[in-house]
Amino acid sequence: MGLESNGSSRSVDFDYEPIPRMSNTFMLPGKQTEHELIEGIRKGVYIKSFQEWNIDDKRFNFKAVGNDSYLIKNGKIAEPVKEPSLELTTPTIYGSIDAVAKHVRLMAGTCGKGEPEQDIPVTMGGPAIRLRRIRLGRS
Amino acid sequence: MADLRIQELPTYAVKKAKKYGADDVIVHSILDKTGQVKFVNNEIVTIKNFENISADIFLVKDKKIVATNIKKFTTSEIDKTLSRIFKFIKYIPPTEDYNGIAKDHFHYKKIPNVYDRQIETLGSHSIDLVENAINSALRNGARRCTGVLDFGVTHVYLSTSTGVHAQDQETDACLSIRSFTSKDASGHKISCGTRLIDVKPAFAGAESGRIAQMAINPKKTGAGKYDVIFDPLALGDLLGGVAGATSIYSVESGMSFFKDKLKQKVASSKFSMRDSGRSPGDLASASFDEEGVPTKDTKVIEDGILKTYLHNTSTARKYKTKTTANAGLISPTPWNTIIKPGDAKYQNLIKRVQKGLLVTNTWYTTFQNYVKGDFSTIPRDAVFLIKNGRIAYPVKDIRISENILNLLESISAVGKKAEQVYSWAAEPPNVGNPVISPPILCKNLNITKSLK
Repeated sequence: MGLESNGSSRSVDFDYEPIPRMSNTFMLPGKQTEHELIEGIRKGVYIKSFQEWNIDDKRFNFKAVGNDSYLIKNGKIAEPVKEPSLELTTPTIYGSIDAVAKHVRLMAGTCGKGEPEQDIPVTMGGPAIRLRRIRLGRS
Repeated sequence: MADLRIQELPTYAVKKAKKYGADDVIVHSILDKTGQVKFVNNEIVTIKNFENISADIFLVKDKKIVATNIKKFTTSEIDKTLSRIFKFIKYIPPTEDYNGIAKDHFHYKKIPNVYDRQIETLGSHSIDLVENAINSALRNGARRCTGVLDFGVTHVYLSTSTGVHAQDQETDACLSIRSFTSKDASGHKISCGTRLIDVKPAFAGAESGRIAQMAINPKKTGAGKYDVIFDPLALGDLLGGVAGATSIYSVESGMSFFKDKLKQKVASSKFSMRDSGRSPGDLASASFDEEGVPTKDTKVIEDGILKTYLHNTSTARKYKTKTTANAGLISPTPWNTIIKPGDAKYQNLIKRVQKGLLVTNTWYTTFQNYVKGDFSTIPRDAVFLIKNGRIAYPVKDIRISENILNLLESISAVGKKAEQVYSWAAEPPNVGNPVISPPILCKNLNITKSLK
Protein backbone atom coordinates (compact mmCIF):
# COMPACT_ATOMS: atom_id res chain seq x y z
CA MET A 1 0.00 0.00 0.00
CA GLY A 2 3.05 2.24 -0.17
CA LEU A 3 3.12 2.74 3.59
CA GLU A 4 5.56 1.96 6.39
CA SER A 5 4.76 -0.59 9.06
CA ASN A 6 3.14 0.90 12.16
CA GLY A 7 4.22 -2.07 14.25
CA SER A 8 0.85 -3.75 14.58
CA SER A 9 1.78 -7.38 13.91
CA ARG A 10 1.17 -9.84 16.74
CA SER A 11 0.69 -13.57 17.13
CA VAL A 12 -0.35 -15.73 20.10
CA ASP A 13 2.73 -17.92 19.98
CA PHE A 14 6.01 -18.42 18.14
CA ASP A 15 4.55 -20.98 15.75
CA TYR A 16 1.54 -18.90 14.66
CA GLU A 17 1.67 -16.35 11.88
CA PRO A 18 1.68 -12.67 12.94
CA ILE A 19 -1.50 -10.79 12.05
CA PRO A 20 -1.78 -6.97 11.70
CA ARG A 21 -4.32 -6.14 14.41
CA MET A 22 -5.42 -3.76 17.15
CA SER A 23 -3.39 -3.44 20.33
CA ASN A 24 -4.64 -0.75 22.74
CA THR A 25 -7.33 1.12 20.86
CA PHE A 26 -9.42 3.94 22.20
CA MET A 27 -11.19 7.09 21.10
CA LEU A 28 -9.37 10.31 21.97
CA PRO A 29 -11.01 12.53 24.59
CA GLY A 30 -12.77 15.83 24.00
CA LYS A 31 -13.14 18.76 26.34
CA GLN A 32 -16.56 18.46 27.97
CA THR A 33 -17.69 16.67 31.09
CA GLU A 34 -20.25 13.88 30.81
CA HIS A 35 -22.64 16.12 32.74
CA GLU A 36 -22.27 18.78 30.04
CA LEU A 37 -23.02 16.19 27.35
CA ILE A 38 -26.25 15.25 29.12
CA GLU A 39 -27.42 18.75 30.01
CA GLY A 40 -27.29 19.69 26.32
CA ILE A 41 -30.01 17.15 25.46
CA ARG A 42 -33.73 17.98 25.53
CA LYS A 43 -34.95 14.50 24.57
CA GLY A 44 -32.57 11.59 24.41
CA VAL A 45 -31.32 8.30 25.77
CA TYR A 46 -28.23 7.60 27.90
CA ILE A 47 -26.85 4.13 27.07
CA LYS A 48 -24.31 3.07 29.72
CA SER A 49 -23.79 -0.48 28.51
CA PHE A 50 -24.98 -2.59 25.62
CA GLN A 51 -25.34 -6.14 24.34
CA GLU A 52 -26.20 -7.92 21.03
CA TRP A 53 -23.41 -6.11 19.24
CA ASN A 54 -22.93 -7.24 15.68
CA ILE A 55 -21.76 -5.82 12.38
CA ASP A 56 -21.58 -7.08 8.81
CA ASP A 57 -18.29 -8.03 7.20
CA LYS A 58 -18.10 -4.73 5.33
CA ARG A 59 -18.16 -3.13 8.79
CA PHE A 60 -21.06 -1.01 7.51
CA ASN A 61 -24.31 -2.17 9.14
CA PHE A 62 -24.02 -1.95 12.91
CA LYS A 63 -26.35 -2.96 15.74
CA ALA A 64 -26.14 -2.71 19.51
CA VAL A 65 -28.96 -2.83 22.04
CA GLY A 66 -28.70 -0.92 25.31
CA ASN A 67 -28.66 -2.72 28.64
CA ASP A 68 -28.29 -0.15 31.41
CA SER A 69 -30.11 2.73 29.73
CA TYR A 70 -32.09 5.83 30.77
CA LEU A 71 -34.20 8.49 29.19
CA ILE A 72 -32.81 12.02 29.22
CA LYS A 73 -35.45 14.72 29.63
CA ASN A 74 -34.55 18.40 29.50
CA GLY A 75 -30.90 17.80 30.31
CA LYS A 76 -31.49 15.38 33.17
CA ILE A 77 -31.36 11.61 33.48
CA ALA A 78 -34.89 10.30 34.00
CA GLU A 79 -36.43 6.82 34.18
CA PRO A 80 -34.79 3.61 32.90
CA VAL A 81 -35.60 2.64 29.35
CA LYS A 82 -35.77 -0.93 28.09
CA GLU A 83 -33.64 -2.27 25.21
CA PRO A 84 -33.07 0.83 23.06
CA SER A 85 -31.90 -0.54 19.73
CA LEU A 86 -29.21 1.27 17.78
CA GLU A 87 -29.24 -0.12 14.23
CA LEU A 88 -27.29 2.29 12.06
CA THR A 89 -24.60 2.44 9.43
CA THR A 90 -21.04 3.16 10.50
CA PRO A 91 -20.92 6.56 8.67
CA THR A 92 -24.20 7.55 10.39
CA ILE A 93 -22.82 6.72 13.82
CA TYR A 94 -19.51 8.53 13.48
CA GLY A 95 -21.06 11.36 11.43
CA SER A 96 -23.58 12.02 14.21
CA ILE A 97 -21.06 12.67 16.99
CA ASP A 98 -21.31 16.28 18.10
CA ALA A 99 -19.58 16.10 21.48
CA VAL A 100 -16.91 13.97 23.13
CA ALA A 101 -16.30 13.86 26.88
CA LYS A 102 -12.87 14.31 28.40
CA HIS A 103 -12.81 11.33 30.78
CA VAL A 104 -11.46 8.19 29.09
CA ARG A 105 -12.48 4.79 30.48
CA LEU A 106 -10.44 1.76 29.46
CA MET A 107 -11.29 -1.91 29.78
CA ALA A 108 -9.55 -5.19 29.13
CA GLY A 109 -10.73 -7.25 26.21
CA THR A 110 -9.76 -9.82 23.63
CA CYS A 111 -9.19 -9.44 19.92
CA GLY A 112 -10.14 -12.64 18.09
CA LYS A 113 -8.68 -13.16 14.64
CA GLY A 114 -7.07 -15.79 12.50
CA GLU A 115 -7.52 -19.37 11.44
CA PRO A 116 -6.81 -21.14 13.73
CA GLU A 117 -8.20 -18.61 16.16
CA GLN A 118 -5.59 -16.35 17.74
CA ASP A 119 -7.21 -14.61 20.73
CA ILE A 120 -4.97 -11.90 22.08
CA PRO A 121 -5.34 -9.40 24.97
CA VAL A 122 -6.18 -5.82 24.12
CA THR A 123 -7.24 -2.68 25.94
CA MET A 124 -10.09 -0.64 24.53
CA GLY A 125 -12.43 2.13 25.47
CA GLY A 126 -12.84 5.86 25.25
CA PRO A 127 -14.88 8.75 26.56
CA ALA A 128 -18.66 9.12 26.48
CA ILE A 129 -19.83 10.45 23.13
CA ARG A 130 -23.00 12.23 22.13
CA LEU A 131 -24.84 11.39 18.90
CA ARG A 132 -27.33 13.93 17.59
CA ARG A 133 -30.63 13.34 15.83
CA ILE A 134 -30.39 9.61 15.34
CA ARG A 135 -33.29 7.18 15.26
CA LEU A 136 -33.54 4.48 17.88
CA GLY A 137 -35.73 1.50 17.20
CA ARG A 138 -36.86 -1.62 18.97
CA SER A 139 -36.47 -4.67 16.86
CA MET B 1 11.93 -32.39 28.09
CA ALA B 2 9.15 -35.02 28.12
CA ASP B 3 9.93 -37.90 30.41
CA LEU B 4 6.38 -39.22 30.25
CA ARG B 5 4.74 -40.47 27.11
CA ILE B 6 1.31 -38.97 26.39
CA GLN B 7 -0.38 -42.30 27.14
CA GLU B 8 1.45 -42.62 30.49
CA LEU B 9 0.77 -39.16 31.84
CA PRO B 10 -2.91 -39.52 32.84
CA THR B 11 -2.31 -42.64 34.96
CA TYR B 12 0.77 -41.14 36.60
CA ALA B 13 -0.97 -37.84 37.35
CA VAL B 14 -4.09 -39.52 38.79
CA LYS B 15 -1.97 -41.69 41.13
CA LYS B 16 0.03 -38.68 42.30
CA ALA B 17 -3.08 -36.59 42.87
CA LYS B 18 -4.63 -39.35 44.99
CA LYS B 19 -1.46 -39.42 47.11
CA TYR B 20 -1.90 -35.69 47.66
CA GLY B 21 -5.38 -36.48 49.00
CA ALA B 22 -7.67 -35.74 46.06
CA ASP B 23 -11.16 -37.26 46.24
CA ASP B 24 -11.82 -37.24 42.49
CA VAL B 25 -9.33 -36.78 39.67
CA ILE B 26 -9.64 -36.92 35.90
CA VAL B 27 -6.68 -36.42 33.61
CA HIS B 28 -7.23 -36.15 29.92
CA SER B 29 -4.23 -35.81 27.61
CA ILE B 30 -4.59 -34.76 23.99
CA LEU B 31 -2.21 -34.80 21.07
CA ASP B 32 -3.39 -32.81 18.04
CA LYS B 33 -1.42 -33.02 14.82
CA THR B 34 -2.92 -30.72 12.24
CA GLY B 35 -2.07 -29.31 8.87
CA GLN B 36 -3.40 -26.21 7.21
CA VAL B 37 -3.38 -24.77 3.70
CA LYS B 38 -4.61 -21.20 3.31
CA PHE B 39 -5.41 -19.53 0.03
CA VAL B 40 -6.11 -15.91 -0.82
CA ASN B 41 -7.07 -14.47 -4.22
CA ASN B 42 -6.71 -17.88 -5.89
CA GLU B 43 -3.16 -18.43 -4.60
CA ILE B 44 -1.93 -20.65 -1.80
CA VAL B 45 -0.31 -18.30 0.70
CA THR B 46 0.41 -20.41 3.78
CA ILE B 47 1.11 -24.06 4.50
CA LYS B 48 1.40 -24.89 8.20
CA ASN B 49 1.72 -27.85 10.48
CA PHE B 50 0.83 -27.69 14.16
CA GLU B 51 1.48 -30.20 16.90
CA ASN B 52 -0.20 -29.40 20.19
CA ILE B 53 0.10 -31.58 23.25
CA SER B 54 -1.69 -30.80 26.49
CA ALA B 55 -3.32 -32.45 29.48
CA ASP B 56 -6.41 -31.24 31.32
CA ILE B 57 -6.49 -31.97 35.04
CA PHE B 58 -9.79 -31.92 36.92
CA LEU B 59 -9.38 -32.40 40.65
CA VAL B 60 -11.81 -32.32 43.58
CA LYS B 61 -11.06 -32.25 47.31
CA ASP B 62 -13.87 -31.77 49.84
CA LYS B 63 -16.14 -30.59 46.99
CA LYS B 64 -13.61 -27.91 46.08
CA ILE B 65 -13.00 -28.06 42.34
CA VAL B 66 -9.89 -27.09 40.43
CA ALA B 67 -9.47 -27.46 36.67
CA THR B 68 -6.15 -26.69 35.03
CA ASN B 69 -4.03 -27.55 32.04
CA ILE B 70 -0.37 -28.47 31.52
CA LYS B 71 1.73 -28.57 28.38
CA LYS B 72 4.99 -30.06 29.71
CA PHE B 73 4.84 -33.83 30.01
CA THR B 74 7.33 -34.36 32.84
CA THR B 75 6.98 -35.83 36.31
CA SER B 76 8.38 -32.63 37.81
CA GLU B 77 5.76 -30.51 36.02
CA ILE B 78 2.99 -32.72 37.42
CA ASP B 79 4.47 -32.51 40.92
CA LYS B 80 4.75 -28.72 40.69
CA THR B 81 1.19 -28.41 39.34
CA LEU B 82 -0.30 -30.64 42.06
CA SER B 83 1.63 -28.81 44.75
CA ARG B 84 0.26 -25.47 43.45
CA ILE B 85 -3.28 -26.89 43.26
CA PHE B 86 -3.22 -28.10 46.87
CA LYS B 87 -1.91 -24.74 48.13
CA PHE B 88 -4.60 -22.97 46.12
CA ILE B 89 -7.49 -25.28 46.96
CA LYS B 90 -7.48 -24.27 50.63
CA TYR B 91 -8.72 -20.83 49.67
CA ILE B 92 -11.64 -21.69 47.43
CA PRO B 93 -15.16 -22.47 48.59
CA PRO B 94 -16.76 -25.89 48.07
CA THR B 95 -19.23 -26.40 45.23
CA GLU B 96 -22.08 -27.78 47.28
CA ASP B 97 -23.97 -29.21 44.31
CA TYR B 98 -20.99 -31.19 43.02
CA ASN B 99 -21.98 -34.86 42.92
CA GLY B 100 -18.95 -36.85 41.81
CA ILE B 101 -17.68 -38.44 38.62
CA ALA B 102 -18.62 -41.57 36.71
CA LYS B 103 -17.62 -44.97 38.08
CA ASP B 104 -18.20 -48.10 36.05
CA HIS B 105 -16.47 -50.75 33.99
CA PHE B 106 -17.18 -49.12 30.69
CA HIS B 107 -16.95 -50.90 27.36
CA TYR B 108 -16.33 -48.73 24.36
CA LYS B 109 -17.99 -49.77 21.14
CA LYS B 110 -16.07 -48.72 18.07
CA ILE B 111 -17.68 -45.95 16.02
CA PRO B 112 -17.24 -46.55 12.28
CA ASN B 113 -15.56 -43.96 10.08
CA VAL B 114 -14.06 -41.64 12.68
CA TYR B 115 -10.46 -42.32 11.69
CA ASP B 116 -8.96 -42.28 8.22
CA ARG B 117 -5.26 -42.88 7.73
CA GLN B 118 -5.48 -40.98 4.43
CA ILE B 119 -6.09 -37.80 6.42
CA GLU B 120 -3.33 -38.46 8.93
CA THR B 121 -0.85 -38.92 6.06
CA LEU B 122 -2.35 -36.33 3.72
CA GLY B 123 0.79 -34.15 3.55
CA SER B 124 1.39 -32.38 0.24
CA HIS B 125 -1.71 -33.95 -1.34
CA SER B 126 -3.56 -31.25 0.62
CA ILE B 127 -2.28 -28.76 -1.97
CA ASP B 128 -3.94 -30.75 -4.77
CA LEU B 129 -7.25 -30.62 -2.90
CA VAL B 130 -7.03 -26.86 -2.50
CA GLU B 131 -6.05 -26.29 -6.14
CA ASN B 132 -8.95 -28.47 -7.17
CA ALA B 133 -11.34 -26.30 -5.12
CA ILE B 134 -9.91 -23.03 -6.49
CA ASN B 135 -10.04 -24.18 -10.11
CA SER B 136 -13.57 -25.47 -9.68
CA ALA B 137 -14.69 -22.13 -8.18
CA LEU B 138 -13.10 -20.18 -11.06
CA ARG B 139 -14.71 -22.47 -13.64
CA ASN B 140 -18.08 -21.81 -12.03
CA GLY B 141 -18.07 -18.05 -12.03
CA ALA B 142 -15.79 -16.92 -9.19
CA ARG B 143 -13.42 -14.06 -9.97
CA ARG B 144 -11.39 -14.75 -6.88
CA CYS B 145 -11.63 -17.08 -3.94
CA THR B 146 -10.22 -17.36 -0.47
CA GLY B 147 -10.32 -20.04 2.17
CA VAL B 148 -8.62 -22.71 4.18
CA LEU B 149 -8.20 -26.48 4.36
CA ASP B 150 -7.63 -27.80 7.88
CA PHE B 151 -6.94 -31.47 8.49
CA GLY B 152 -5.47 -33.59 11.22
CA VAL B 153 -5.60 -36.32 13.78
CA THR B 154 -6.39 -36.19 17.49
CA HIS B 155 -5.23 -38.80 20.02
CA VAL B 156 -6.92 -38.79 23.43
CA TYR B 157 -5.90 -40.66 26.61
CA LEU B 158 -7.97 -40.56 29.78
CA SER B 159 -7.56 -41.84 33.35
CA THR B 160 -9.79 -41.24 36.33
CA SER B 161 -9.57 -41.93 40.05
CA THR B 162 -12.61 -44.21 39.68
CA GLY B 163 -10.60 -46.61 37.55
CA VAL B 164 -11.52 -45.54 34.04
CA HIS B 165 -8.73 -45.85 31.45
CA ALA B 166 -9.56 -45.11 27.86
CA GLN B 167 -8.04 -44.00 24.59
CA ASP B 168 -9.38 -42.79 21.29
CA GLN B 169 -8.29 -41.33 17.97
CA GLU B 170 -10.15 -39.37 15.32
CA THR B 171 -9.32 -37.60 12.10
CA ASP B 172 -11.03 -34.67 10.45
CA ALA B 173 -10.67 -32.51 7.38
CA CYS B 174 -12.56 -29.29 6.63
CA LEU B 175 -12.42 -27.19 3.51
CA SER B 176 -13.94 -23.71 3.64
CA ILE B 177 -14.03 -21.69 0.40
CA ARG B 178 -15.47 -18.23 -0.19
CA SER B 179 -15.81 -17.00 -3.77
CA PHE B 180 -16.22 -13.39 -4.85
CA THR B 181 -17.68 -12.00 -8.05
CA SER B 182 -17.76 -8.32 -7.08
CA LYS B 183 -17.29 -6.06 -4.06
CA ASP B 184 -20.61 -7.11 -2.55
CA ALA B 185 -21.30 -10.49 -4.13
CA SER B 186 -19.89 -13.67 -2.65
CA GLY B 187 -20.71 -17.31 -1.97
CA HIS B 188 -19.42 -19.58 0.77
CA LYS B 189 -19.33 -23.36 0.98
CA ILE B 190 -17.93 -25.84 3.49
CA SER B 191 -17.13 -29.49 2.86
CA CYS B 192 -15.91 -31.55 5.78
CA GLY B 193 -15.81 -34.96 7.38
CA THR B 194 -13.77 -37.52 9.26
CA ARG B 195 -12.73 -39.35 6.08
CA LEU B 196 -10.99 -37.87 3.07
CA ILE B 197 -13.72 -39.26 0.86
CA ASP B 198 -16.21 -36.97 2.67
CA VAL B 199 -14.35 -33.82 1.62
CA LYS B 200 -15.39 -32.73 -1.85
CA PRO B 201 -13.20 -29.83 -2.99
CA ALA B 202 -14.55 -29.66 -6.55
CA PHE B 203 -18.14 -29.56 -5.28
CA ALA B 204 -17.41 -26.93 -2.61
CA GLY B 205 -15.51 -24.75 -5.09
CA ALA B 206 -18.23 -25.06 -7.73
CA GLU B 207 -21.01 -24.25 -5.28
CA SER B 208 -19.25 -21.22 -3.82
CA GLY B 209 -18.59 -19.92 -7.37
CA ARG B 210 -22.15 -20.59 -8.49
CA ILE B 211 -23.67 -18.84 -5.47
CA ALA B 212 -21.31 -15.86 -5.87
CA GLN B 213 -22.26 -15.60 -9.56
CA MET B 214 -25.98 -15.56 -8.64
CA ALA B 215 -25.31 -12.87 -6.03
CA ILE B 216 -24.04 -10.23 -8.47
CA ASN B 217 -25.69 -6.77 -8.24
CA PRO B 218 -27.60 -7.17 -4.99
CA LYS B 219 -30.44 -4.68 -4.42
CA LYS B 220 -31.79 -3.21 -1.24
CA THR B 221 -34.99 -4.54 0.21
CA GLY B 222 -37.27 -3.17 2.90
CA ALA B 223 -37.52 -4.14 6.55
CA GLY B 224 -40.55 -6.18 7.58
CA LYS B 225 -41.86 -9.71 7.83
CA TYR B 226 -40.47 -12.34 5.46
CA ASP B 227 -40.53 -16.10 5.20
CA VAL B 228 -36.93 -17.26 5.33
CA ILE B 229 -35.24 -20.38 3.94
CA PHE B 230 -31.99 -21.05 5.75
CA ASP B 231 -29.39 -23.07 3.88
CA PRO B 232 -27.45 -25.52 6.10
CA LEU B 233 -24.44 -23.19 6.37
CA ALA B 234 -26.67 -20.43 7.73
CA LEU B 235 -27.94 -22.86 10.38
CA GLY B 236 -24.45 -23.72 11.66
CA ASP B 237 -24.42 -20.50 13.64
CA LEU B 238 -28.10 -20.51 14.67
CA LEU B 239 -28.59 -24.16 15.61
CA GLY B 240 -25.16 -24.43 17.21
CA GLY B 241 -26.51 -21.85 19.64
CA VAL B 242 -29.72 -23.84 20.13
CA ALA B 243 -27.65 -26.94 20.98
CA GLY B 244 -25.41 -24.98 23.36
CA ALA B 245 -28.49 -23.66 25.15
CA THR B 246 -29.56 -27.24 25.99
CA SER B 247 -26.46 -27.71 28.18
CA ILE B 248 -27.48 -27.67 31.83
CA TYR B 249 -24.57 -25.30 32.38
CA SER B 250 -26.17 -22.77 30.00
CA VAL B 251 -29.49 -23.23 31.81
CA GLU B 252 -28.01 -22.76 35.29
CA SER B 253 -25.84 -19.82 34.31
CA GLY B 254 -28.69 -17.80 32.77
CA MET B 255 -27.45 -18.30 29.21
CA SER B 256 -30.35 -20.39 27.95
CA PHE B 257 -33.77 -19.68 26.48
CA PHE B 258 -34.67 -23.29 27.44
CA LYS B 259 -34.71 -22.53 31.18
CA ASP B 260 -37.88 -24.02 32.78
CA LYS B 261 -38.92 -25.46 29.40
CA LEU B 262 -38.15 -29.16 29.99
CA LYS B 263 -40.88 -31.43 28.55
CA GLN B 264 -42.53 -28.38 26.99
CA LYS B 265 -43.05 -27.37 23.39
CA VAL B 266 -40.13 -25.22 22.30
CA ALA B 267 -40.34 -25.59 18.52
CA SER B 268 -42.60 -26.50 15.64
CA SER B 269 -43.66 -30.15 15.62
CA LYS B 270 -41.70 -30.45 12.36
CA PHE B 271 -38.43 -29.88 14.22
CA SER B 272 -36.49 -32.70 15.90
CA MET B 273 -32.88 -32.41 17.06
CA ARG B 274 -30.60 -35.01 18.56
CA ASP B 275 -27.17 -34.81 20.08
CA SER B 276 -24.90 -37.62 19.03
CA GLY B 277 -21.34 -38.43 19.97
CA ARG B 278 -21.61 -41.65 17.98
CA SER B 279 -22.53 -40.54 14.51
CA PRO B 280 -20.21 -42.14 11.92
CA GLY B 281 -18.43 -39.58 9.78
CA ASP B 282 -19.49 -36.57 11.86
CA LEU B 283 -16.77 -34.28 13.14
CA ALA B 284 -17.41 -34.39 16.88
CA SER B 285 -17.90 -38.14 17.26
CA ALA B 286 -15.81 -39.73 20.00
CA SER B 287 -15.91 -42.97 21.96
CA PHE B 288 -16.22 -41.36 25.41
CA ASP B 289 -16.78 -38.03 27.10
CA GLU B 290 -14.39 -36.20 29.43
CA GLU B 291 -15.13 -38.50 32.37
CA GLY B 292 -14.95 -41.67 30.29
CA VAL B 293 -18.67 -42.36 29.86
CA PRO B 294 -19.35 -43.98 26.46
CA THR B 295 -20.99 -41.41 24.21
CA LYS B 296 -24.66 -41.68 23.38
CA ASP B 297 -27.25 -40.67 20.87
CA THR B 298 -29.72 -38.43 22.69
CA LYS B 299 -33.06 -37.09 21.50
CA VAL B 300 -32.96 -33.51 22.72
CA ILE B 301 -35.93 -31.97 20.91
CA GLU B 302 -38.47 -34.38 19.48
CA ASP B 303 -41.41 -33.16 17.39
CA GLY B 304 -40.92 -29.75 18.98
CA ILE B 305 -40.81 -30.97 22.62
CA LEU B 306 -37.67 -30.40 24.71
CA LYS B 307 -36.90 -33.90 26.02
CA THR B 308 -33.72 -33.36 28.03
CA TYR B 309 -30.88 -31.04 28.91
CA LEU B 310 -27.30 -32.21 28.29
CA HIS B 311 -25.65 -33.58 31.45
CA ASN B 312 -22.48 -35.01 32.92
CA THR B 313 -22.60 -37.42 35.87
CA SER B 314 -22.52 -34.72 38.55
CA THR B 315 -25.28 -32.57 37.07
CA ALA B 316 -27.38 -35.64 36.25
CA ARG B 317 -27.23 -36.77 39.90
CA LYS B 318 -28.24 -33.28 41.00
CA TYR B 319 -31.35 -33.41 38.80
CA LYS B 320 -32.03 -37.10 39.52
CA THR B 321 -31.57 -38.13 35.93
CA LYS B 322 -28.97 -40.04 33.90
CA THR B 323 -25.92 -38.54 32.30
CA THR B 324 -26.28 -37.92 28.58
CA ALA B 325 -22.48 -38.45 28.29
CA ASN B 326 -21.79 -34.83 27.46
CA ALA B 327 -19.02 -34.11 30.02
CA GLY B 328 -17.42 -31.27 29.86
CA LEU B 329 -16.70 -31.52 33.55
CA ILE B 330 -17.50 -27.88 34.26
CA SER B 331 -19.90 -27.43 31.37
CA PRO B 332 -21.66 -30.30 29.56
CA THR B 333 -21.07 -29.70 25.86
CA PRO B 334 -22.91 -30.83 22.72
CA TRP B 335 -21.32 -33.32 20.33
CA ASN B 336 -22.82 -33.44 16.83
CA THR B 337 -26.12 -31.57 16.54
CA ILE B 338 -28.27 -33.52 14.09
CA ILE B 339 -31.54 -32.17 12.71
CA LYS B 340 -34.04 -34.76 11.52
CA PRO B 341 -34.57 -34.34 7.78
CA GLY B 342 -38.06 -33.61 6.49
CA ASP B 343 -39.62 -34.50 3.17
CA ALA B 344 -39.29 -31.25 1.23
CA LYS B 345 -37.11 -31.03 -1.85
CA TYR B 346 -35.06 -27.83 -2.02
CA GLN B 347 -36.99 -26.43 -4.98
CA ASN B 348 -40.27 -27.18 -3.24
CA LEU B 349 -39.17 -25.13 -0.23
CA ILE B 350 -38.67 -22.18 -2.57
CA LYS B 351 -42.02 -22.80 -4.31
CA ARG B 352 -43.81 -22.55 -0.96
CA VAL B 353 -42.66 -18.96 -0.39
CA GLN B 354 -44.71 -16.01 -1.66
CA LYS B 355 -42.53 -13.26 -0.18
CA GLY B 356 -39.34 -14.35 1.42
CA LEU B 357 -35.60 -14.65 1.56
CA LEU B 358 -33.11 -17.41 0.86
CA VAL B 359 -30.24 -16.97 3.33
CA THR B 360 -27.09 -18.90 2.43
CA ASN B 361 -24.92 -17.93 5.41
CA THR B 362 -25.05 -16.01 8.68
CA TRP B 363 -22.52 -14.62 11.11
CA TYR B 364 -22.44 -12.62 14.34
CA THR B 365 -25.44 -14.28 15.95
CA THR B 366 -25.59 -12.33 19.22
CA PHE B 367 -28.16 -12.24 21.97
CA GLN B 368 -29.75 -9.27 23.70
CA ASN B 369 -31.38 -11.53 26.26
CA TYR B 370 -30.27 -15.17 26.58
CA VAL B 371 -33.18 -16.22 28.79
CA LYS B 372 -35.85 -14.68 26.55
CA GLY B 373 -33.93 -15.64 23.39
CA ASP B 374 -33.95 -12.21 21.72
CA PHE B 375 -31.13 -12.10 19.19
CA SER B 376 -30.02 -10.83 15.84
CA THR B 377 -27.90 -12.37 13.13
CA ILE B 378 -26.43 -11.00 9.94
CA PRO B 379 -27.08 -12.78 6.64
CA ARG B 380 -23.70 -13.01 4.96
CA ASP B 381 -22.60 -13.71 1.40
CA ALA B 382 -25.55 -14.32 -0.92
CA VAL B 383 -29.12 -13.50 0.14
CA PHE B 384 -31.93 -13.81 -2.39
CA LEU B 385 -35.42 -12.34 -2.49
CA ILE B 386 -38.07 -14.95 -3.27
CA LYS B 387 -41.29 -13.78 -4.94
CA ASN B 388 -44.19 -16.07 -5.76
CA GLY B 389 -42.19 -19.24 -5.40
CA ARG B 390 -39.17 -18.14 -7.42
CA ILE B 391 -35.82 -16.55 -6.70
CA ALA B 392 -36.21 -12.95 -7.91
CA TYR B 393 -32.85 -11.24 -7.27
CA PRO B 394 -30.03 -10.95 -4.71
CA VAL B 395 -30.43 -8.47 -1.83
CA LYS B 396 -28.09 -6.97 0.76
CA ASP B 397 -27.82 -4.91 3.96
CA ILE B 398 -30.39 -6.74 6.08
CA ARG B 399 -30.44 -8.29 9.53
CA ILE B 400 -32.65 -10.95 11.11
CA SER B 401 -33.79 -9.56 14.47
CA GLU B 402 -35.88 -12.23 16.14
CA ASN B 403 -36.55 -14.39 19.14
CA ILE B 404 -35.03 -17.86 18.85
CA LEU B 405 -38.06 -19.65 20.33
CA ASN B 406 -40.28 -17.80 17.87
CA LEU B 407 -37.94 -18.84 15.05
CA LEU B 408 -38.06 -22.50 16.13
CA GLU B 409 -41.85 -22.34 16.40
CA SER B 410 -42.08 -20.76 12.93
CA ILE B 411 -40.47 -23.74 11.15
CA SER B 412 -42.98 -24.84 8.54
CA ALA B 413 -40.89 -27.22 6.45
CA VAL B 414 -37.61 -29.10 6.71
CA GLY B 415 -35.63 -30.14 3.66
CA LYS B 416 -34.63 -33.68 2.76
CA LYS B 417 -30.91 -33.39 2.31
CA ALA B 418 -28.68 -32.65 5.31
CA GLU B 419 -25.17 -31.20 5.20
CA GLN B 420 -22.51 -31.06 7.89
CA VAL B 421 -21.46 -27.52 8.76
CA TYR B 422 -20.00 -25.64 11.70
CA SER B 423 -19.86 -22.05 12.81
CA TRP B 424 -16.42 -20.55 12.66
CA ALA B 425 -17.64 -17.38 14.39
CA ALA B 426 -19.57 -18.97 17.24
CA GLU B 427 -20.69 -16.73 20.09
CA PRO B 428 -22.14 -18.16 23.34
CA PRO B 429 -24.14 -20.27 23.91
CA ASN B 430 -22.80 -21.71 20.64
CA VAL B 431 -19.55 -23.60 21.28
CA GLY B 432 -18.80 -24.20 17.60
CA ASN B 433 -19.97 -27.83 17.54
CA PRO B 434 -20.82 -29.39 14.16
CA VAL B 435 -24.40 -29.10 12.94
CA ILE B 436 -25.83 -31.61 10.48
CA SER B 437 -28.94 -30.02 9.07
CA PRO B 438 -31.07 -29.85 5.95
CA PRO B 439 -32.36 -26.43 4.81
CA ILE B 440 -35.24 -25.11 6.89
CA LEU B 441 -38.16 -22.83 6.01
CA CYS B 442 -39.36 -20.41 8.70
CA LYS B 443 -42.48 -18.29 8.33
CA ASN B 444 -42.85 -14.63 8.99
CA LEU B 445 -39.51 -13.64 10.53
CA ASN B 446 -38.59 -10.09 11.43
CA ILE B 447 -36.10 -8.47 9.05
CA THR B 448 -34.52 -5.18 10.06
CA LYS B 449 -32.02 -2.84 8.48
CA SER B 450 -29.96 0.17 9.43
CA LEU B 451 -32.06 3.25 10.15
CA LYS B 452 -31.12 6.57 8.59
